[in-house]
Amino acid sequence: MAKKFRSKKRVERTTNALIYIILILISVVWLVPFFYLILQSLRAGTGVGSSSFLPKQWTFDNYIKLFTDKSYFNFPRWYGTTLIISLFVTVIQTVIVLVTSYALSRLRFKMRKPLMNLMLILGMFPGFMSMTAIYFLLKVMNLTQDFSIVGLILVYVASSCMGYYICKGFFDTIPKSLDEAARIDGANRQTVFIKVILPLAKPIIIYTVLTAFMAPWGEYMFASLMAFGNQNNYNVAVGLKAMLDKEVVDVYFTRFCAAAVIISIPITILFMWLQKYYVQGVTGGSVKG
Amino acid sequence: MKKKRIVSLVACGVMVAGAALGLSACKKEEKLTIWASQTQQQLVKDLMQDFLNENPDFKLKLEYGVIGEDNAFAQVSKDVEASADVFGYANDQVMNLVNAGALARLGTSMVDKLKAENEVSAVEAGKLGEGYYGYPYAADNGFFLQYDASVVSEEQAKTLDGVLEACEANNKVLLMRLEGQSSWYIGSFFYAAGGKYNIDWAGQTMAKAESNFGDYAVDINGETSTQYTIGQVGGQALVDLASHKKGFVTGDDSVIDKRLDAGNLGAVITGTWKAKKIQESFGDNYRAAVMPKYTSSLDGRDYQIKPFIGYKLYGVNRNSKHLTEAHQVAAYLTSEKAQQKRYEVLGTGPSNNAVAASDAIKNDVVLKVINAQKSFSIPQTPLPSEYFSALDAFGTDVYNGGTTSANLKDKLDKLISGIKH
Repeated sequence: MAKKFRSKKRVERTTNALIYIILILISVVWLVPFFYLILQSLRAGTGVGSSSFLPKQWTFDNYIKLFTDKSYFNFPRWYGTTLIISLFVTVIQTVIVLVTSYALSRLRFKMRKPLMNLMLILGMFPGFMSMTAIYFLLKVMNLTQDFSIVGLILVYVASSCMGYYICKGFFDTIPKSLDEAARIDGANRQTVFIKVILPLAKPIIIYTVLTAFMAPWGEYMFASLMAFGNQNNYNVAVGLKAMLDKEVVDVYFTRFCAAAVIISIPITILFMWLQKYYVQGVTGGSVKG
Repeated sequence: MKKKRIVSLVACGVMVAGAALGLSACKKEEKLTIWASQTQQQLVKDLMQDFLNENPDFKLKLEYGVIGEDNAFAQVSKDVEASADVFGYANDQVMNLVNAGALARLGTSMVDKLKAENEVSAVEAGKLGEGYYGYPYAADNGFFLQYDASVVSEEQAKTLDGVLEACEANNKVLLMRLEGQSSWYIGSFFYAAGGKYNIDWAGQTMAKAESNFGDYAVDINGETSTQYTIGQVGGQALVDLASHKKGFVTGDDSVIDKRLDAGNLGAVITGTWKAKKIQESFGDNYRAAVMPKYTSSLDGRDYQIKPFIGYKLYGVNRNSKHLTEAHQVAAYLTSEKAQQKRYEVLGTGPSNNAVAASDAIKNDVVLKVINAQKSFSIPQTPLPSEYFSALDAFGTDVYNGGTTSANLKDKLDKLISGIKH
């Protein structure tokens, strides 16, 4: 039996080549839409499609006009509105999530388990199921249309304590002996939370901040319902959708692409800035020796 | 300890109640909201400024929202009471809007006045049951043939075969939507052969609706065929169109843009909203023409393709707190003066007779065609979803080659039963 043996090196090389080909294919599929968006945002001219992938004429006008030409769409205003909403939600939600997680992780009270179960069950219903009910409640309080920004912040923040799982899980890994040591030294619960737990919980704080910021940043459903045609209170997602209306899309498609690129900037910056802490926090230990 | 807890509870309650009270205390000013499409925003604001100058007694604060006529029902249905007092809508939504309780009925004297001043079918477009529910202002939502004169000659543009022939000879293509959401376009091929879609109304809802595509076809001279049905003639024409692999392509608006960009479009059958873009691309060679005839490969006779014509109206919200003022505003926004201005600024085709008769419109390259087409166009009334889904599916199947001359009869039976409501 003459079986042909291949050298290990050769086998390794072919498998590697195969793996790389597959990876390259996947990354092409994944990256093409992003490149397309960026290229379209730099294309001169009108229309939704173009015959070539690369623009025939390059221009930066779409970006400039996005901020200067407010005849139809006030993009800077939408951008500001969304930023305000997101920042408020980030701060409030982060505080609520951290506090809830701490309480559920460290304190023992009668309703702890039932409360956790209740939140688990409530969390299983998709948020938009209660959309209409929430809308009419807010309407009674006059928090739609003209005051929809306040209403939106309320909506986004309202159920945030239910996102405690991951955070509580992290707190559970911080040894209780630290708490106890601090308590013996005379610290009360609040001091333990702020001075002992929080400094150790940096990665989870970062994680909470990131998710809290991103959710309202791209949210469409609630934002469009609450603004109810009041264009001054649109967020970027609802505003961008308006740019794709049949009667204006010819002119605004390239600007839409430019806007999409600009919208991704804050998230990118946030990630790049916070990633460092994130990794540091995950790898760093808490109890020495 | 217990006391502390009660105190904090009470404090919490007071805060929440205070916030709620404070917010609802910012009482809404007495106002009137107008919804118009994005392109009309400035125009409506200017018109309302004129209106205020003419009516100094008008005290309501005006507010504006951006909701396109095509999205009116989608938005209004979410919350009728919070919707605008006056809003624009496309006439095929009239049934849904009325049934949602969103439209106020017009008085008879107003209807008579509107009928005297406007194209009657435009006023009728806002009719449901016995009532009239809108002030018409646009009568231009249709599709027609747009072509490049260096490819297609005026004579060739009169027949579908001529257009295809010209395109193929010049290595260009004719574009019309045939797959996907094509029902709006391809119904015209059946209407060409005398097709009708009959709806039996039970008050304001559809009791029953069906097509007459199983009846014998009627050609351009009014002669009834003894051999072929409307479905066969229309369906065969679509199959023939799809068989022109070289000279015909299907596609939505983005495909039109791509083809224009690549420069291989000879002719397009599409709607009014795309005219500007195509005009830009074809330049001096841009021509618009009424929908062409097709010659049936079954009996060799000619049939005139009959496109839809749709209208846009301003309606008054039945839940408005200021009905009188809302009617006043809606009437003003659709008056002769407003329609004249709307044409000058946006090129909207008016429903007002006096404006439509002006020289400017008679010479308008697009509106001239839409108006010429009106003699045979089919007014687009409310249609059930079955109509669109069945025709969409039929068109897609024709384009993909699933429907051929051989199995056309079976597929038509499916279409006719599918289109029933």
